[in-house]
Amino acid sequence: MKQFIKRGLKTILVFIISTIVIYVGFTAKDFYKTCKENQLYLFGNKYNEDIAKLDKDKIKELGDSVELYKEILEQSANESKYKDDGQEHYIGDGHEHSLGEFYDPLGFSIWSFIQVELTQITTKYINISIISGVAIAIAYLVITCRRISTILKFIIGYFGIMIIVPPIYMYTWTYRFWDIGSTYSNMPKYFYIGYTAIFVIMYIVNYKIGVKMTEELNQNIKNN
Amino acid sequence: MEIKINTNISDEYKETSITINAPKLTKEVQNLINYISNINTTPTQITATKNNEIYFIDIENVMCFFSKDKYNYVRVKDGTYKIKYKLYELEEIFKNKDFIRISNSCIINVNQVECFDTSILGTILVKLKDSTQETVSKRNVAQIMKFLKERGNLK
Repeated sequence: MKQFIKRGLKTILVFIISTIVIYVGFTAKDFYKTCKENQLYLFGNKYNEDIAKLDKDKIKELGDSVELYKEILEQSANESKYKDDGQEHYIGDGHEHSLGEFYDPLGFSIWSFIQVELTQITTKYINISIISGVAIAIAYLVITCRRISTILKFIIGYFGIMIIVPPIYMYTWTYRFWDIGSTYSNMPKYFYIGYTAIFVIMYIVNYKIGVKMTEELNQNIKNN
Repeated sequence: MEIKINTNISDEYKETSITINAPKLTKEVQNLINYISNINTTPTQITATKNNEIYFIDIENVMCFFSKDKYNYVRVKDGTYKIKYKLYELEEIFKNKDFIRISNSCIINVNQVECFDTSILGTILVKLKDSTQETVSKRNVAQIMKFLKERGNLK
C-alpha cells in the first residue's frame, strides 16, 4: 500500500513538472515570437539604437490595425442612439452600447490589441501541456512498471499515447470527435515529435542510470 | 580498515576465543563483532520440500530465495525447492551472512554472483553461477552497495 501511494505521488509529480515545463517552454517561446513580430525588444540596450532598428512598414501595419479599430469605435459611438438622450448609461444596463461610448477609442484600441495578443499567448498551450503531461506521466508509469514486458511497454507507452491523445486534443478544441484521418493529420506535429523525443530521452536516461549502477555493483562485487 | 591478525594455535587452549584490540569502537569494529557473533548463530542448513519429500539444503549452496505465486522457494544448482519461511524472515536470519535482498521477491547469495548486467530496458540484472538471472530493484541498489562495501572491508 505504501509503495502504491509512493508510486502514485511520483507519477503525479512527473505529471505536474512536465506540464509546467511544457507550458512555460511553449508560452515563453510564443511570447518571444510575438514580441519579435511586434518589434518589442525585451532586452533592449539603448532606446535610440532600438528605434533605429525598427521596420517602418511593420510600425505602419500596427498603426493601421489600431487606427481601423479606433475609427470603428468612434463611428459606432457617434451613431449610438443613446448618445444625446440625457440619461446616464453603463455597461450591462440592458441596452446595446458601443464600447466607444465608454472608453477612449484610441486607448481602448491599443489596450484591446495588447490584451488579445497576451490572452492568446497565455491560453494557447494549456490544453496541449496538460495532455502532454498526462502522456509523459503514463509513459513514466509504464516504463518503471516491472510487471509489464518490454514489448507491451513500448506498445502501451508509445503507440498507445499516440493513438489516444489526438482525439482527446481535437475534442477539447472543437467539442466534437473528428474522423480518424482528420484527427491525426490535424494534430500539431510538435506533439508527435516532442512525445517521441521525450520517450526516447526517458528511455536513454533510465538505461544510462541502469548501466552506471551496474558498473558500481560490479566494481563492489570484485572487491568481495 | 587494516586489521592485524594474530593466531595462536596450541593444545593449552581448551576452547576457541577471539579477542579484539582496538583504540576505539568504530562502526567497522562493531560490524566485525556482529559478523563474528553471527557465525555460530546463523543456521547452516534450511529445510525445504519437493514432491512431498523433505530436503536439507546447505546454505552455502543456495543461489537465491524467491517468491512466486504466493509461495516461497529456494534455488540451488540442482533445482528449486519450496520453503515455508517468508522472505522477510530469511532476510532477518541471514542478514549478517552472505545474503542480500535485491527486490521485493528475491534474496540472493552474494557468493553465487557471477556479475551484474543491464537489460535492454535499463533494468539491472544479476547473473548467478547457475547461469540464471534475477532482476535487481533500483530502490535496493543503495542497500546492496552498502552491504558489499562493508563486506569488502571486512575481507
